[in-house]
Amino acid sequence: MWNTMLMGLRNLSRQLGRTILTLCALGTGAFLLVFVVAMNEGTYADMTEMATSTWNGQMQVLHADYHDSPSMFEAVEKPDDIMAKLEADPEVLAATARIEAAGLFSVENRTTGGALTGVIPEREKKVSTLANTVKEGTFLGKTKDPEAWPIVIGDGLARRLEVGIGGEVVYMGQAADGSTAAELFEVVGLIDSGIDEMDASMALIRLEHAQELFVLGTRAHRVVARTESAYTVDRIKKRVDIPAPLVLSTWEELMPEVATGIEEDRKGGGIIVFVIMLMVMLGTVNTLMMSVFERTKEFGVMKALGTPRWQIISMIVWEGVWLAVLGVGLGVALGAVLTLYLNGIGIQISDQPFEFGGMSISTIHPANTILGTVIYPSILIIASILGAIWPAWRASNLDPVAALREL
Amino acid sequence: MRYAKLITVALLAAIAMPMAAMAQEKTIEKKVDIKELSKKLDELYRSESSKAVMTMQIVTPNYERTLKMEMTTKGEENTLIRILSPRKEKGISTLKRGNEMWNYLPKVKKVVRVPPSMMMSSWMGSDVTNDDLVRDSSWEDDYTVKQVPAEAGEFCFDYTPKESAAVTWSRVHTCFDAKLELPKRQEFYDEKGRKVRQMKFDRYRKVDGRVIPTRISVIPLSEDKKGNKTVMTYEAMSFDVEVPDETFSMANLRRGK
Repeated sequence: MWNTMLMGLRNLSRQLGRTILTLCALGTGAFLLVFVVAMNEGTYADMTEMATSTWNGQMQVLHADYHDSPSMFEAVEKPDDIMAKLEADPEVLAATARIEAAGLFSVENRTTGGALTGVIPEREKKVSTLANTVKEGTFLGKTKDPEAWPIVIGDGLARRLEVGIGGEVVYMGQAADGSTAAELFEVVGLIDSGIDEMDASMALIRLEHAQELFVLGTRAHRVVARTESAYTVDRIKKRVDIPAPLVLSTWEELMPEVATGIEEDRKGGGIIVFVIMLMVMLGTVNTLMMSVFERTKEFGVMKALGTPRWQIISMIVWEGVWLAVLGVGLGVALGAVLTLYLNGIGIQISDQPFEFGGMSISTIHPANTILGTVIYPSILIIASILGAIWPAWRASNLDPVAALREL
Repeated sequence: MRYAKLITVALLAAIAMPMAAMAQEKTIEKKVDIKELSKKLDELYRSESSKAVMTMQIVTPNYERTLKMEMTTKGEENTLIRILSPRKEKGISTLKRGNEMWNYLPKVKKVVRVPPSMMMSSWMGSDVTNDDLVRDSSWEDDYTVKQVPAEAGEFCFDYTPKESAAVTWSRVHTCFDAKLELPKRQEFYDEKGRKVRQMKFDRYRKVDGRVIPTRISVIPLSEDKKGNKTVMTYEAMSFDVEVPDETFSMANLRRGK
């Protein structure tokens, strides 16, 4: 066994030029495989990160009926308890509570519909990146008029209302007891989240002000949590016990369009992976086939000397193993290192950022994953080795007399 | 010969049917003047000017509340509504002038214009839309009317909006009390032909010289409004009273009283 292993290696070195060419072909294939998968997975990770960390969080606690038909009345009774419960989990970084209401925003004779959200500023900054996109002013800081409540509005909404920092905005909507909720706010900050839809309609106020305005007591509509990774949410969901009628939902459940979009795209990528694998495998088979044909006389001599059949098979399969391991190993190493490097700096594609579910992505960070950097290359190696069996079988089947007569 | 019976039946039917139809038409002609009834529907609560005090009871699965308000109208163009109670909402006012509408919020001392896109939204959380309050479409002029079969003691009509009319319904089924010649109920169908709202009129009383239904119940029928109901009751009403034009000015709206 070990003899045939070394013989395989020695045989490869006899035709060094060809071996190097084959190794290069294998390496290029493996490199492509690793890098294509890394680009895809990196994009998925960026998309997931945008979809979750921008505003929605990786997990949310809602009243069971709120997700399908948001209404003022389906509230989370004790948001403080829920936040504490979530934050007690080691993989949850932070949690915050929100109140949501639609209504009219008015400045002088200009009125437009919008979405008002009550937030806890200190907590919100740890949960959503949107809270950190205040381009002017403060995130619900102090007002000039000590009587007025602060409001932060999207820059699109500000343009529509023609209002800036320090301006007054009247909100009118409906409170939880059915009464008219009306309040005068002072604009203390403008948000530019980069998501036009949100910037054109969203306004944020402090949670305690929202609770008073909408007569909600200590209730809230949504508890949003940020977790260490978007991919471990199912694990956390199993650990954290949330009492009915509240429901803990993961981002995949809250935004199925993002999760299924990624899944569909990954399936499409699988075809490319398969084609690359097939090419690499055929390359190995081809090299070994040529090598076997060239060495017909050699195998004839070996057989005539009484070399057992398994030894010939073993020797050629070992040639395949060496080629596959060295070639793929080289390619994977190159691919993984390049991925690691680009993951740090990102690839700018800002000329034509592409839209996905309302998010526009302008930078891709390729990412190494177990699937792309370990599992796929392993399959590639195994497939190449399996591909070596056929030439080996042919060589072991040669009739020594005919083989010797050939040259 | 076996067809003899069939032919007889067919003949009888052919003779009897137009007769029946004629008989029905006769009773209708005798009793109903569609135009007159539509006009009545238009002018039910309207006059050259009017003042009314009414309560609006709003029932939802989540809360129940009652607003008391004062409503002043002049012509078809001008309406001013002021909420009298509860205390928290006292002074909230709605002014309608032509096709425009504003709300005054005394708490913040500001006027909020109601944009056209919000016309189908609820007024003060009730099942009455802003459009219901502002609308000045006429049953007589903006709809084609067709009489439809009705139960005894009722006349029923289908009102279909004319193409030129800015109406959100595709059909309004309206039934009148035959004796009083006053509306009894209306069913509103949306553009997809679904029945989305029901209105009931009752408590017919003589008010300031004319008999009107003093109670209107609005019941939305859509799934998301299940269990909702808004009941408006006229407490007092006077027609053709002196109302100065200034009542419907922006300055008066801001006055809040």
